[in-house]
Amino acid sequence: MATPKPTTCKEAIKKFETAKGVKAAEEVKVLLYAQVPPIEKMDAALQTLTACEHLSLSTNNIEKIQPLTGLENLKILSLGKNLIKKLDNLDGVAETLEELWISYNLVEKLKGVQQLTKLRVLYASNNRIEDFDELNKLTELSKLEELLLVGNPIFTEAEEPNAEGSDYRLMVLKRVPQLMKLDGIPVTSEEREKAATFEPAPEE
Amino acid sequence: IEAEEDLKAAQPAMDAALEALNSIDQKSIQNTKALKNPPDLVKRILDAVLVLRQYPMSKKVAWHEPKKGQVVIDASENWKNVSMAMMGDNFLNALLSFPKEQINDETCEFLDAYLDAPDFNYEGAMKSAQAVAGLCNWCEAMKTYHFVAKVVDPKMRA
Repeated sequence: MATPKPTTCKEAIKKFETAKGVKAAEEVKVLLYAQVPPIEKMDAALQTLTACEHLSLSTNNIEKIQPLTGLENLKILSLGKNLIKKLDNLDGVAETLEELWISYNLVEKLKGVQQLTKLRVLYASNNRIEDFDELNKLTELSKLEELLLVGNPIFTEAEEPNAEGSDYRLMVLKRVPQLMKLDGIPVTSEEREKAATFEPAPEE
Repeated sequence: IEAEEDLKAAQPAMDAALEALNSIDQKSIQNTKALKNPPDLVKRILDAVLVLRQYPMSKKVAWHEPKKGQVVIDASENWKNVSMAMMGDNFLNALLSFPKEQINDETCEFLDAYLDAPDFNYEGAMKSAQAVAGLCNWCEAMKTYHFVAKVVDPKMRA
């Protein structure tokens, strides 16, 4: 059986307009998730979504983030369940983006995230982050409140990662002390204090 | 007081979730787990539970057409993950004690991709996925709880 052609962003936008009876260019929330067949490329059609604050492209097969110029109001970018390896081309939305949802992708390095100065929420479960030092790129993001890292190598290899005051949580909070919530669980002030001076036991 | 009133709005969702889990017995879970190739809807239902529990899943999204004219997410790839990792002896207890306050907006958007299918509901599941039909309601209830609680939470803290 021949593989069907992927849905283009232009086609996905058209489907969204028909289903909702709206003009996508005027919509605050544009839902292009779970297209059949899946979207594989972010293309220039997305630039027409000038009113968009929440762009949903999750559950597709996108491999690369393309520049999002013209989306001057974008606050939430939802790219979870795709095939993205790098946080490229986010400079166009760096001034406005508050939430990046990118769980279930192939992201190993966080390079590119440090320019998102307004970022409050980063959902990045089930990616390939294996080095705690990648989190140093989040240190300067003063507005960052919530971080999700469940299912990354740094999480899965930890013993009882979700227990309050676990080594894993302290290793994360040491680098990102401003967090209010880690992996869905509120950060306590005791935990934050403990993390500030935490040194992992040397490996034998 | 306003927050308490709003919390009452979450109660039906919680009741529905509990009722959904009570409708399932451990034996039907064991029987389902033993199936090499369960009905398509069973796989999708367990896939959705996988999403809520933030378990690993195969990365590439695939769709197929189990019934003519009905194109749905193809959950076959994940079935092995599901039956191995998730459906242990403790499966139902894990759902009963599921930390629903940890659900987030992104997870709910992933869920929508499953919930949008016309057969993904209790009635649809009673036809081909009877043993786990209650889990459709459970997924729906978890999502409802999240969005109700999201409105209530800031008021509780105020």
